[in-house]
Amino acid sequence: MAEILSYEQVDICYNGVPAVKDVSFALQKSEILVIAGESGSGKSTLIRAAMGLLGKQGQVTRGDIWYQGRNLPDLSRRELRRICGAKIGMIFQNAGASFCPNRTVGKQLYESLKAHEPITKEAFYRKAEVQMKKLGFSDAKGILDSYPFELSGGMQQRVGIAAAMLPEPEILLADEPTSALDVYIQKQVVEELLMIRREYGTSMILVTHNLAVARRMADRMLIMKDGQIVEQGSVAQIFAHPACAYTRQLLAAVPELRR
Amino acid sequence: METVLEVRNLTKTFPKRGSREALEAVADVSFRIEPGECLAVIGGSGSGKTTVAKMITRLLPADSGQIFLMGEEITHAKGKALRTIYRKMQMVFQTPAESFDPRRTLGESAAESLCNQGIGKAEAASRVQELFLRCGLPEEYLMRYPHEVSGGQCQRAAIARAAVLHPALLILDEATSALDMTVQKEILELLSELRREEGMTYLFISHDIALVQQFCDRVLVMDQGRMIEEGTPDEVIRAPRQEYTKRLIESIL
Repeated sequence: MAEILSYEQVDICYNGVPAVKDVSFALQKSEILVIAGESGSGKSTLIRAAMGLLGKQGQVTRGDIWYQGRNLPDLSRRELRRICGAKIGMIFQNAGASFCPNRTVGKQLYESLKAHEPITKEAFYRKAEVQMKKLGFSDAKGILDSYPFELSGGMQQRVGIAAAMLPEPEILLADEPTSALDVYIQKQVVEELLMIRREYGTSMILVTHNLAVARRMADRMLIMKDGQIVEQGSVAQIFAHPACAYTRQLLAAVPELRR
Repeated sequence: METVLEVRNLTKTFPKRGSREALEAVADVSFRIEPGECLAVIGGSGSGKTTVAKMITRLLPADSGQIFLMGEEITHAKGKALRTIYRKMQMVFQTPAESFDPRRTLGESAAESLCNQGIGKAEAASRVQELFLRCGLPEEYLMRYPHEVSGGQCQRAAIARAAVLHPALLILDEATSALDMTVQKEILELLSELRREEGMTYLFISHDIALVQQFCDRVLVMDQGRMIEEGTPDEVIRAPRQEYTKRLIESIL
């Protein structure tokens, strides 16, 4: 196994207030790593830092985030743009909100892919249709010709994921990708992400507060609280033998379905 | 004892944009809630759960059908009559911060409903303080503004504000969905306690079926505006009769 992205003693502050403290971990090739924790624990901040998405107030104040021998926080905007999107993709809680409402989905995906690689419109549509079929979309052409508002929230989310996968990034970062969806669609999105890993061997970091999603998807988990990692381990280990009191409290709070 | 709430053939349609057909958000929904019961309404997004709650609380007029609260018809209640109704029925919504006036302290907002019922300021203040304490909010929280407290604390204040009137029926529309798991657990414990001590009746709208199984006595399943199945949580979860319910339950990870 090879480390593909590694965080080393990372501190992140917003306006001088620490949000993440001394976090170290590494993402392995083709691994799904879940970062779980409650609101304000710093889990989103952690993956946003890799993409340079901390905003004006946020800053990595100590430590390194290594990708292919380069420290991401040290890169210029321009260098970062070459990596983000193309090599490291990201999806958010509400992918539908990042679409422009008055252009078709296909036009927008074409534009975003063109920013990373030279491609003709025809080639793009061929590629997009093939890829969306692979991810289980039955009517890829119909979706590409739709406006975002013509798709349901769940479908928008799935299209957002397909869009992030178009440049075939090595790493996919996902920030609460299923939290705004109802259970039925949540399951479809989980299946889609698992299929991406099967088809492309993509490594993923998934941030979620939903432990059921974590259990279904993760190989390994980090539990965060107040900006620090309080526990990390394999999914089996964390669910069966949580070492930290906070992890136990978190697990106990999840209502379990008695079938 | 008297049935707390009865809903008969409730229907609501909304105009659909760019189409002549109307969207049937709620179609011919009927059910009853008995005293002390906790009734859950579950279903996917867009199934009509919230629209039902909005019609019961009279935030949205029903197209047709009838609503009875403690035996009295409230379908077309207005003005003063509504005020009496809100003494018996209160609601708590998903995003607590949005249901408080941002310019007023939590204590002021909570006391307002009592003052509306003609209770003096001093008594209102002391009753609110007592309820805040029971909901796990120390005295200093009375003076805080909604943006100065966490989501969980704000939801506690919303429950305190609703409970201070000792309503017979509390309508909870996804009241714990926006909260962290550990906070959700605390809020549910608070609701169970209020139910035990005050004998409150709940209409609990949620998309979280595991939660409903733990917390509710009876479940109604909604799909596309219709009530498609009813039973105890164990009946509905272990032996769903409808295809939609089956799918819903199989989707739970």
